Amino acid sequence: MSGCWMLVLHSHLPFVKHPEFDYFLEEHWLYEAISETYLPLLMNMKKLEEEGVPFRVTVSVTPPLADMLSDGMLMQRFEKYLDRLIELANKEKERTSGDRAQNRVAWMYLERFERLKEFYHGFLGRNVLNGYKYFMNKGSLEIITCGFTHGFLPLMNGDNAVRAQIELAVKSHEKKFGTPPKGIWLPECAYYAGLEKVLADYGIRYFFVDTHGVLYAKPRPRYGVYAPVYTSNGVAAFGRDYYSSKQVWSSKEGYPGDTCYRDFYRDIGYDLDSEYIAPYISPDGTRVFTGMKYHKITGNSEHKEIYDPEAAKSKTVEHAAHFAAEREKQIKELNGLMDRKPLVVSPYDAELFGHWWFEGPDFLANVFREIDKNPEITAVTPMEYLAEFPTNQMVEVNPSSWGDKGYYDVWLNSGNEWIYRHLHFMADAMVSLARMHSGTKEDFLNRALNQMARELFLAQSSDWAFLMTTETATEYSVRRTKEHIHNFLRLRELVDNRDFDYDFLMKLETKNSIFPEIDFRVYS
Amino acid sequence: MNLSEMTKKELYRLAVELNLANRSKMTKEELEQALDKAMSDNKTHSSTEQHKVHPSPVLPEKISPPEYPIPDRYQIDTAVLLPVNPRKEYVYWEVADNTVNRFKVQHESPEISFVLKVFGGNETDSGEELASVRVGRYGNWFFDLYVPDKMIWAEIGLMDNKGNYFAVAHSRKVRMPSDKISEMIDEETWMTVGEKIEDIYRLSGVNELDSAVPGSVRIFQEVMRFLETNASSSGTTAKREGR
Repeated sequence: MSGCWMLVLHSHLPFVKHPEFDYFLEEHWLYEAISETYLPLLMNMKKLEEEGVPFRVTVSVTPPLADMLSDGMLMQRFEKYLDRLIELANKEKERTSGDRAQNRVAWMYLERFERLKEFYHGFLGRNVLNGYKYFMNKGSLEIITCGFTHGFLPLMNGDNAVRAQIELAVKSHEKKFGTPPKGIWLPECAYYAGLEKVLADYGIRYFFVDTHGVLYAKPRPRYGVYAPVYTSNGVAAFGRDYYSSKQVWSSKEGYPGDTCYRDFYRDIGYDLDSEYIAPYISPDGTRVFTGMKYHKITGNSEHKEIYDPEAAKSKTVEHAAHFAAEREKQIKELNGLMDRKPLVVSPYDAELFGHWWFEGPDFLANVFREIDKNPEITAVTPMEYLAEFPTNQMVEVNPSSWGDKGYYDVWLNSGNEWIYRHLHFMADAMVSLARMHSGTKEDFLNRALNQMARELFLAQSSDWAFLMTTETATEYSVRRTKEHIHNFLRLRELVDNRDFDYDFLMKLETKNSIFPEIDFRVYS
Repeated sequence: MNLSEMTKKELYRLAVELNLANRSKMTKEELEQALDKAMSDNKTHSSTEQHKVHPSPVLPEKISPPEYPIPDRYQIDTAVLLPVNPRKEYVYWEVADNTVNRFKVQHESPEISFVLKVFGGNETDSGEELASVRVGRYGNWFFDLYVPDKMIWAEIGLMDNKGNYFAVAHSRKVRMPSDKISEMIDEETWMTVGEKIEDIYRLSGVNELDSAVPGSVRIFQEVMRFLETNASSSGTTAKREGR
């Protein structure tokens, strides 16, 4: 017998858009993710296609990300960002001309950025989502959705808010990709008992949980995490494979820590003379990552050697071969224990590949090249697997998440608990206002209620609670949370008092513009 | 700041902040000397300009971030229980002023106290009281009740001066997560995999889950800590990296 391997990439960024500033640092999360992760992944897929290497990837594109990738202002800023990278790489080519090793790296960046630009303007037609759609239509990509704004579903205290997150996610997905999603990446992989009822109502056929979501299910899962299970209403749950996650994630043993891979921290944005680098960092002089980094990880000490792109490239081949061999070993061992093909599910944050682990997208492409040569392993998508194995054990999935400690601690602790009182109040208020005004034809009321729904959704993003826990982007995430709560309550006052303050409303509509088609009646 | 007590890593970070040349090639001792020199130089010059861009007329003006005041509470009667993990629960509650005043009149009790209770049981039964604490009019509480797989809920109530308790609001019932492999085994499992199930679990990593690989959390924390120590302190926009 043999087995299946399923690669799942969760792509997500919180909705960050600041038209009120010319330069806004958190907007760069998006530009960096596009140039370092999304484009390199899509370019590698294109390469695989041209080589005739089959591949299967399940990828979530969360609604806020899809929205930002279709936002005119943000994408215009991205194009400018890419042009400046090319400009910087050109200068770097000159600056490093006296040092062969560094100069080679500068050239590598220049060529890379130019290829990115060509791919973006050419193949993608200036729309990143076109790339995802292209491979979806070819059958090699299964695109799934997520909570509408990546809200942490188990902490929503009731179905209304959860339903709204799922309903709008499905609508947004349909609009962006032309077809309703069959699967969902639960925000933070977080499941609570009963969630499957909501998922089933919106036509979702499967979701993913962490290892102990399946392993601690009731009754015992017959095949551990090596086969999906069904919840009572037939929605499938796929469990994360622990070992393949560890191979990539672990800071000690993980591939990305290899000494010849590019070092993430040493960046010319921090290292070079401030006058020279000024145009490429924050206009107020704050040093930031530029994306141009010349060093390899080298070792544990602070001493870093110059990066060798060729050596790193061949390392990805070596690591891909190792990864495939480990999967084969795992599958063979399971073959002796199971009466059906084992399935190994490997989910990761997409941004790990490329952004954190520079060579990650090449590694993934090489994994598919290895698997193509390996008769024991077949790469599959969830729907392909369920079509082959429609009969699965029915269990109660265990409430869990993929955060630190495996439950809800990261999103609910003494540092961020204060948000839930507000989020719940807002959701309840939204429901009663939506019911009260569901028939309204009044322009202001309609728009104000729609904007209230947007503010609520944006406040619910699990990213803010997460960032408060990591105690780093605390200031921004606290301010974002309070901003949305404040806006919501202010709008509610306007609605209650029939105070038609269009100025205030329109300011919010421009700024917090997620999903222009929103209809507050999703809460009624 | 005592440089001689700092680790090499800390010294290096400081060197990054001060933008010392050749810092990556220095030994710990060299770093210490270079920093010592740089810092005493700094005292005679302006101390912060060194690694910043010189201000130019095009620089955006510093605007202090807008304030978004939000209320502490909403004048509603509510109690919400949320699970944190199999051993920990979070509850927040509030009793509206109106409710309190009405209660005082109705029960002729000028003195009242607020009691927060947690119950556990099944979907249908009225449950067993697991905890009870005296609290304030509104607030939050972390409980450490270990009740895996149980339904659990919270209730906020008022007690009059004669010790009579009246419930005001209660939370939804939530099912607590489990932290171990279930004892429940269905028949077909024995028919299909039998005792091999233990081996399958071993391969699933069941013995290592305690040291489980978190999602993205660890890697982000690491990177953010680095940035925190390296980002300079100017600017109105937050300057940290995230996802």
